[in-house]
Amino acid sequence: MKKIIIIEDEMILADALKEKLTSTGYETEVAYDGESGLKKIEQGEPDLLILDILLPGVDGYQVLEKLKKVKVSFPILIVSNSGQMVDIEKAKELGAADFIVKATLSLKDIEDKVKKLIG
Amino acid sequence: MISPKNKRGGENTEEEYKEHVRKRLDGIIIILQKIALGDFSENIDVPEKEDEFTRLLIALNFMINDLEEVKKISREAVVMETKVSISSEQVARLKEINRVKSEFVSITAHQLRTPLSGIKWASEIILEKTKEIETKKWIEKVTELNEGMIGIINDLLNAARIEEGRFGYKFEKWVNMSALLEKIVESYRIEVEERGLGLDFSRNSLEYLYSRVDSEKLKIALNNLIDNAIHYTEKGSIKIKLEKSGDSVIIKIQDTGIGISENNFDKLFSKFFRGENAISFRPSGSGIGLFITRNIIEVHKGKIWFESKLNQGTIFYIKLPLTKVEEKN
Repeated sequence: MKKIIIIEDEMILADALKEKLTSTGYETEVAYDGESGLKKIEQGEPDLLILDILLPGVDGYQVLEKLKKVKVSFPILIVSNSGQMVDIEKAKELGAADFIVKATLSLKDIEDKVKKLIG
Repeated sequence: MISPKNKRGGENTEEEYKEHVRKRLDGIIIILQKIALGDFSENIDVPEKEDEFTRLLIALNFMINDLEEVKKISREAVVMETKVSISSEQVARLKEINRVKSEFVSITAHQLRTPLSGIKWASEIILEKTKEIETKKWIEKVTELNEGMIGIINDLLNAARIEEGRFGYKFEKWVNMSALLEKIVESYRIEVEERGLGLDFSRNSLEYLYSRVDSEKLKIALNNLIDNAIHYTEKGSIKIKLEKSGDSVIIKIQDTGIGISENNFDKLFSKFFRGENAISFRPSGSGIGLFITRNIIEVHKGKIWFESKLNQGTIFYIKLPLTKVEEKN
């Protein structure tokens, strides 16, 4: 079973994503902040990381930077409030595979994106 | 040659003449000194008797008057300049107020995206899980309202970005217009059929038509027009046509909806404007969509216009330049 780690501080969003992806057949783990998310990744790399940008403490960009340094091989899907080109480009520069703007995509759309990325 | 006559009417002696010239010159020197100091307040007294000197004095008087006029104008210009700088200060202040307002809208809209997303996703999960038709109905209603709010938030964010000049355009030179348009139209198929309306896409040319566009932004513009066509049409159909016209491509979006009152023609693209019949037909709506659409089309060096008849329908036209073939190499 493919494993997905979700780092998202907004509980309802994290839990809704987990619910959806679990029911689709993925193993999912949730972290509500950047630091505990990074710990979870250290404990066992996922097949995909779903990452929010605005997080308490270590934010999404910092998570991306740290993961870029250790050259992780799994894809990272950003879920953010911003649809700004600069933010998308910054995230992609830091190694994000794709970018989702909150409230614009349904869970079904996200499931499709996840399938495209890791099957 | 100067040949002043003396009071007695006879020729002056050389001595008298020298004295006469010296007096005149002294007067002129004083005047020139005043002029040099920028004092043009007084005219020079010109003796009645005309000679070369008096002509010079008359000319100097004209010059003094002109200089006085120039001085007045330049003084006014300075005053006006101060006025301009005050009003440019005001302009700067207004710009600042507008910037703060846009920033406020941006931040608020951003903050709202999280809860709206929560409602959207939670509703989706409930819809998947519940078997109760009654619950489904209510949740569908919630979803619909939530989508409306998300739409308004996105419009507000886009309008704020446009006003702040940070809409972030990314142009591609060779966008296949037919493919782009067809994809957009097809994304409406289910919604339109659910509403019992027709949806038709056609083109008058089999040629590949390429334009230099930002596909994402153009999609926002076209979505706004198609959304409007669907939202304000009760029965009939939405027809979308792609036509080649010279060096341009024309996209026509035609509906059989409520139409636009002629009184509102010139206000239609203003921000927050909504026609009375539009408001009563569909109370929710931001009134920003067409403002955004026009802006996007103008940035694409295109044109947008419309024809409409109340209760009969509306046709929106978008004209965009085609990418020239010789540019391909």
